[in-house]
Parts: sequence; C-alpha cells; structure tokens
Amino acid sequence: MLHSPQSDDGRGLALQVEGLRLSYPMADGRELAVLDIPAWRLPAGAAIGIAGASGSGKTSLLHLLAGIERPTAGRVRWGGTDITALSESARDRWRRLHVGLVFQDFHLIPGMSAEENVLMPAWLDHVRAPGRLTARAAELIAQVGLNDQRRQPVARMSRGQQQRVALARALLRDPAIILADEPTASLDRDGAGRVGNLLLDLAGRSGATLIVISHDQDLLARLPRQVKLEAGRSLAP
Amino acid sequence: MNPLPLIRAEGRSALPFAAVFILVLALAIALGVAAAALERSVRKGSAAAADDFDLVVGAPGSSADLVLASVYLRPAALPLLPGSLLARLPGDAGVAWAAPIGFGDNWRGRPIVGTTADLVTLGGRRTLAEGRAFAARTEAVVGAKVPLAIGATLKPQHGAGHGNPIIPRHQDHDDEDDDADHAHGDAAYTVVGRLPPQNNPWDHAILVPIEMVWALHGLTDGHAADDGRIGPPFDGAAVAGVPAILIKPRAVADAYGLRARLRSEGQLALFPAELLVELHRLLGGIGTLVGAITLATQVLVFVSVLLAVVVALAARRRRLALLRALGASRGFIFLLIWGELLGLLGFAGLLGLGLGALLAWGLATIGSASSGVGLPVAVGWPEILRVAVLVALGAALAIVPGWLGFRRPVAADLRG
Ligand SMILES: Nc1ncnc2c1ncn2[C@@H]1O[C@H](COP(=O)(O)OP(=O)(O)OP(=O)(O)O)[C@@H](O)[C@H]1O
Ligand SMILES: [Mg+2]
Repeated sequence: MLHSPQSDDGRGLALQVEGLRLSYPMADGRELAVLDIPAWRLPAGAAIGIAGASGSGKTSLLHLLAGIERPTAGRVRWGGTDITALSESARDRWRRLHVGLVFQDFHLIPGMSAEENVLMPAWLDHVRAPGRLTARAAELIAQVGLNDQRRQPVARMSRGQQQRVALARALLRDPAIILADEPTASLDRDGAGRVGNLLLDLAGRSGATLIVISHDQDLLARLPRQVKLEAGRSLAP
Repeated sequence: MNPLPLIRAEGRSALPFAAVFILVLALAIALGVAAAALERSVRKGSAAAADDFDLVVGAPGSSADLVLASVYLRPAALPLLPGSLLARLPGDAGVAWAAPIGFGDNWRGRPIVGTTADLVTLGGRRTLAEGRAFAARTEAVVGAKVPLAIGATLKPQHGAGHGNPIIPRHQDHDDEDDDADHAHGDAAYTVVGRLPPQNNPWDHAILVPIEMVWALHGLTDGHAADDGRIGPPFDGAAVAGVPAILIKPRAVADAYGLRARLRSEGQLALFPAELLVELHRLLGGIGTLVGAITLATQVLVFVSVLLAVVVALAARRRRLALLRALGASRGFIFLLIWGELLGLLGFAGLLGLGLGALLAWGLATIGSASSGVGLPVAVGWPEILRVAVLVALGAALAIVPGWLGFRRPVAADLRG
C-alpha cells in the first residue's frame, strides 16, 4: 500500500506541504500563478481556519490538499503519504478513505433521501452498505438532528438541513481529514451557527485534522488557529 | 461498488425525461418489431392458404389473376378454358382428381363457388366439420365462417361475391343485364355440409355443384343427358367453358409432366406455391428493404437519444465531479453513465417488444379481416433477437458518453 492508514488512536493526519505551486495557462500564453506556498505544516488533529479575499486561491488550495487537483509543482504529504505522487486511481481511493469534504453548495443527490445521501459514499466501494456504515449513518443523522427527516427527499429540505446532511455524509467513514469550503456561506445566521457548531463538535470528537475555509468571522473565531491567504502566497497567522 | 442506488435516484429525479426517452425509443423499436413480425406472418399465411392447391390451370392470361381468383377467391375477369379440357383431365393417368372452379353468384356478398365434390373433400382426404359433400344440384357445402346451419336454404344472387361479377357479361342472361344483383328466380340451395376452418377466404365461400351455376346462367350443364347428374365425367361438348381447373396430380413427377403438357397446349398451368415463392422473394426483398429502413431509423433514434444524453451529461458534470471528489473512481463514473443508458435501453426494449407485438397483432387482425387470409402473427425469437441486437448496439454506443464522463476534469467541474 502506497499510503499509511489513519493513525490507530483515531487522530487525524499531519500535513506537510513543500514548494507547492499552482498556475493556469492564460489566453495570452503567460501563466496565471494562483498559489505559491514554499512550506506549510499542520500537526495531526489540528483545526485551522483559512480566510482570504475572493480569488486569493482558497478553493484551489483545498482542491490540492484533497488531491482533487494536481499541483504544477511541489508536494502534499498527509501522514506518510505523498498524495501528489499517487496515480489517479490511488488518489481516488485515498480520498475516499481519508477525506471528508463539505462544500458551500452542499452538493447532495436530489433523488435520494437524507439517509441515502449520507450512505452514498458507501456505494462507491460496496454493493451493499455494511452494517458498520449503516449504524454510523444512523448515529450521524441523529447527531445532526435529522432523525425525523431521515427518509425525506433532500430536495424538500431547508438549506440548513441540507448542509447538515452534507456534514453527516462527510463524516460517514470517520475521515482523518475534514476539509470544508465555506460551509456556512449560503446559510442564514441561525443555520450557519448550528452547522458551525456541529462541524467543530464532530471534528473535535473524531480527532480529525480540520481545515475550514470561510469568510464567516463567527466561525473563524471559534477555531483555535486562523491563517490568511493573500494572493495565494503567505499563510501568515 | 454499486451505482444502482444512484441510477435509481437519477431516474427518480429525472422521471419525465426518462419516460420520454423510453417512450421514443420503444416506439422506434415497436415499429421494427411489428414490421418484421408482419412480414413473416403474411409469408406464412399466404403460403398456408395455397397448401391445398397443387396445380392450377387457366386459359392464357395473367398468372397472378389466376392464383388470386382460384386460391384467394379475389374477383378477376378470367378467360375461359375449353370444355374439352375439363372432360379429359379427370381421367388422365397422372391425375388423382381435377375439379373445376366457377364463379358468378354470391349469397349476401359471400362467393358461391361452383365445383365438384372432389374439391369439397380434396379427393376424399378432407373430412367435413359437419354433414357431407353435396350429392345433388341444389345442395351446398359452406365454409367454416358462413352463418348458415345444416339444413338451411340460401338463394343465390347474381354477381360474384366481393363486387365485380367474374363471369363475363356476354354470358349473362339478357334479361338479367340491368340488375346484376337480383336473385335467380326461385333457385335455392340447401346446406348439407360445413368445411373445417381453413383460415383463408374459403372460410367464407359456399361450394355448390358447378352444373347448377351453369344452369342458373342459362348455359349447358356439362352433361349430354339431361338427367341431373353432377360431377365427372363431363361431356366436353356440353361445357361452355370454365375459368379454372384445380388438379391434384398423383405424384410429383406427374405434376411436372402435366404442367409441361398443358403449357405445350397453350394453357396457363402453374403451381401457386411457385408463384408464392416468386412473390415472397419480392416480398422478402421489400422486407429486407423495410427492415433496413426501420433499422436505420432505429439507429438514428438511438444516436439522437445518445446525443441528448451527452448534452444532459454537460448539465450533470458538477454532480459527477462531486462523486469524484467524494472518492468515486473513474470506473464508477463510467458504470454509472453506462448503466443509466442501459437501463433506459432495457426498459425501451421490453416496452418496444410489447408495443410491437400489440401493433403487429392489430395490423394482422385488420389485414386478415379484409383479405380473409389468416395471418398467424407471433412475436418470436427473430424479433427478440432483433431487439437484443439493437440494445447491444445501444450499449456499445453508450460507451461514448460513459467515456466522456470518465474523462472530465474534476476540479474545474466542481466549480460549476
Ligand atoms: N481552471 C482554472 N483556469 C484558470 N484560472 C482558474 C481556474 N480555476 C481557478 N482559477 C483562478 O484561480 C484563482 C483562485 O481561485 P479560487 O477559486 O481558488 O479563489 P477563492 O479564494 O476560493 O475565491 P472565493 O473566495 O471567491 O471562492 C482565481 O483567480 C481564479 O480565476
Ligand atoms: Mg472559493
């Protein structure tokens, strides 16, 4: 196996970024440098908020950390695994097992109930969700307070409820890494507060390494550490 | 991995689109199935109708008219054979039996066919469903679907069934010229027998002694002595003419010998089966053409549906990217798209088979009602195979959208 499994004591994975650069070719032939991070480290189980102006490269960074996108140069190491060196299929598998993602727009499957959405990642591996995962799904649905709505189609849920479903889905496999991209940005104040609480609470309980991108000062303030991304360059506190 | 829950969810949330896709595909498939099944059944039905007609003789003219009039009882103006032939043939060495077929009258639109008892019993081979063959001039044997019970009487009306009189005008009574459809005075037949079902136009026919038909039309009755006898032997000099003679040869060699001899005498002699082979060759050619056209139509429908799917794929690229972000492999994405299409095709194939069977059955029912030829329509293995091939072709074509979905850039698609 190319990558190390999640640490046995249930804590998250440590992050080690080196010489990370991402650039896109522009129409005039020059390169648009989106990210340039010489070095960045996070201990296992850390929880950190990343702020930054629109277009500063926060989403791009998240994609690189999740192995969704490949950097132009540099390395991303999680635990002992250099995910930039993995093949595409190995990265898919690594991400499936280790990363929980939460997006601004929830990205739920509209034809499915809340319960099915939470269980959906199980079907990426299994023909039938194993009992361990169905039990975990039920537990998570209860924790995000949707027990009564678990059979309801997500298309008929409020935005706050939908994001809670998405949160439960991200946590189904007890990932060692939780990455959230503006998880509260499309919610009202109450919804944002509730989702924020749940995110921090559940991540804290699981011991996963948590990275939250946000403009939401309330949410950022409750994370133990915050950094600011400026034009894709410094990750200064 | 198991893309089925996703396929189901996708189907649920896109139900109207999926239903329209399935319906359009199913209709295209149904047309092909119906065309193929009908072609087969017309072929079978027309051949079965000609089974009992070994060798048919007529005066020189159209061979199609001869077969249509004698085998299928379709009205046609046939030239007449000389009476000497009818007198001679039944006694010929190679002939088991020979029976004249004469037209001219009808009963409520059903053709009255003048012939001999040999045609009724096919020379003793056919047992009647009810009663017996006619033994006197005023007796009749009816087809299976003629609504007359044994013992009932019927008054013949002038004019062959299905409209046009077959017997040429100059042979009519002068006093009947103005009114082609009025009864022959008080003449009447009594039903003495009923044929078993044939699934062909003979089910609607009424078979009577040809002597009576001649007599009703004021012609000599085929026999020298005026003693009311019916059936062979005939006296050639007393037969004015006969439109067709059906011959049952003793053996295959006799059949070819007789045909050759009759042809050398200048008559039209043919095996209806042979003509049908010609017809079916033509029909087969048309069938192949129709088959090719329907197949092309189906392929076009498939391709346009697939194009629509590819377009729909663009709209779904965020959802597919999400699945990749959650860790779905490329194979999973491929299976998802391909499986969805296969599901659509499968449903459409089954529905198309069902609709096609229904359509073929409906058309065959209409067709046999109007022609009298039983069309044994059945959707069978040829049609199932045809649909299977089509679905397999669709599944092969569906690799393209599957592959396109598989290759999408995840990060870019995730941004929307
Ligand atoms: N596929 C791409 N091709 C070219 N440029 C891109 C591409 N993806 C992102 N960019 C550019 O990279 C820069 C960073 O984008 P990114 O989405 O990471 O910003 P962000 O910090 O998440 O902004 P926001 O707060 O608005 O979400 C932007 O200038 C964007 O235009
Ligand atoms: Mg962003």
